Amino acid sequence: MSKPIYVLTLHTHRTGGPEACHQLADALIEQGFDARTVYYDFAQVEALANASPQEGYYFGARVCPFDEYARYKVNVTDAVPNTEGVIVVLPETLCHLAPKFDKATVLIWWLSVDNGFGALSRVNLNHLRKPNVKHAWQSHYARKFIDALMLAEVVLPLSDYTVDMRRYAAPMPWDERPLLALFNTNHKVVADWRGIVAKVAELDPEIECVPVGGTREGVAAMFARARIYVDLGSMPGKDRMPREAVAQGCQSLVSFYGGGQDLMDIGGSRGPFETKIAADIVRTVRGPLSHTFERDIQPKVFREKAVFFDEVARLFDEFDARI
Amino acid sequence: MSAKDRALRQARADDARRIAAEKEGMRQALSTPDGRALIAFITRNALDAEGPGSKQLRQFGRDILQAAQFANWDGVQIMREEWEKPKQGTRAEAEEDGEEE
Repeated sequence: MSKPIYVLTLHTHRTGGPEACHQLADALIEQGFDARTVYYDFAQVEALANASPQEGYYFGARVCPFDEYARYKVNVTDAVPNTEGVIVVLPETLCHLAPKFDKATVLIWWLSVDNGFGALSRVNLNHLRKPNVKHAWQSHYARKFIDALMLAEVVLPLSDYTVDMRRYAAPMPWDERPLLALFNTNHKVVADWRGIVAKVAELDPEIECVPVGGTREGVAAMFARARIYVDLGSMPGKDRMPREAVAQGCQSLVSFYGGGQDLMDIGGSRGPFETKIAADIVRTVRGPLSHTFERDIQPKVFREKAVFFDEVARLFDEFDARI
Repeated sequence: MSAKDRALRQARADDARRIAAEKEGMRQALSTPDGRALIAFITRNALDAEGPGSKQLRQFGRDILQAAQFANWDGVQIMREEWEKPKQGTRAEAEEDGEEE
């Protein structure tokens, strides 16, 4: 039986979550599901959080907000009904809205854990344990969280996939790359990255350490010529940037924390601490590209799209939602 | 009293209010199964951190645990016992009478 699937997607931000929601809508449409994207903003969520359950909610007509999402197929609509036979996908930051869709089937997609704490504090968790509320996880960290809070017995994976950034910048061959190490220096970084950069400079002054940032094209170009990307963030979910770096032929080094544990097989840093990591960075930058990187790590990132499409089909077939 | 003294006194009072509110929040959280599960998850995740940056994260975990012990010692003991229990089903099933809104 066909069931319309409404994917609530943040309209105002160009971050991992909204991109994943676009990927989900696209994968659903490609595989014959009736997926509809509803764009929301924070003010609407606030109003909805304070409203009592209704037969449906109007979010307004909007168009795809960013050019780079134009590659995803979406059927945009302006309202979400709260009726039986409807599936509503809520990213984890909207989990507090689950009680508003008491007649529909709600799928909470745990794209991160930490970003959902704010919404979690605004809902009685028993609402998230009701039979009409299902849960899907993007990282094992999220799965452990669902288990720890006993939100559901059966949860299925629903990851996302790395966008092929080669369209923005062609990756340079390893041997032609400069001795360039990129660092994530945003607010989520928990390690002393300045100390690591200083240590790298001490060990090998020829290695240039640069904070990564800028436009998507700019970041893609940086990954296309760098030798290592170091991301020691708090990893609220399975972050995109280490995977995007790998897709561009740049080795990654990520925290063994939170969603970072899911990235261990593409660039884990479980062992070394700050004092040792600088030596590891120097060794990686100076050394040849490992066979493991070419044979296992990079192909794993390129396979993500196929894996994601399988997960989508499996998950929504459970709901008997195909047209 | 100078403007600087007044500002300092105000800052100290604000700080005291914030700490009291946080302590009360922690006490309340540790008095419910869901709150205990959430704090246990965050704490355990921080304490289990490995690799670069883990020193700060483990300190964060210890700080939470210490704050929890100050706020609600008994709650922390129950939290430890609950965390060790095998988890089956959902909390709603585990506790038939449910929780208060």
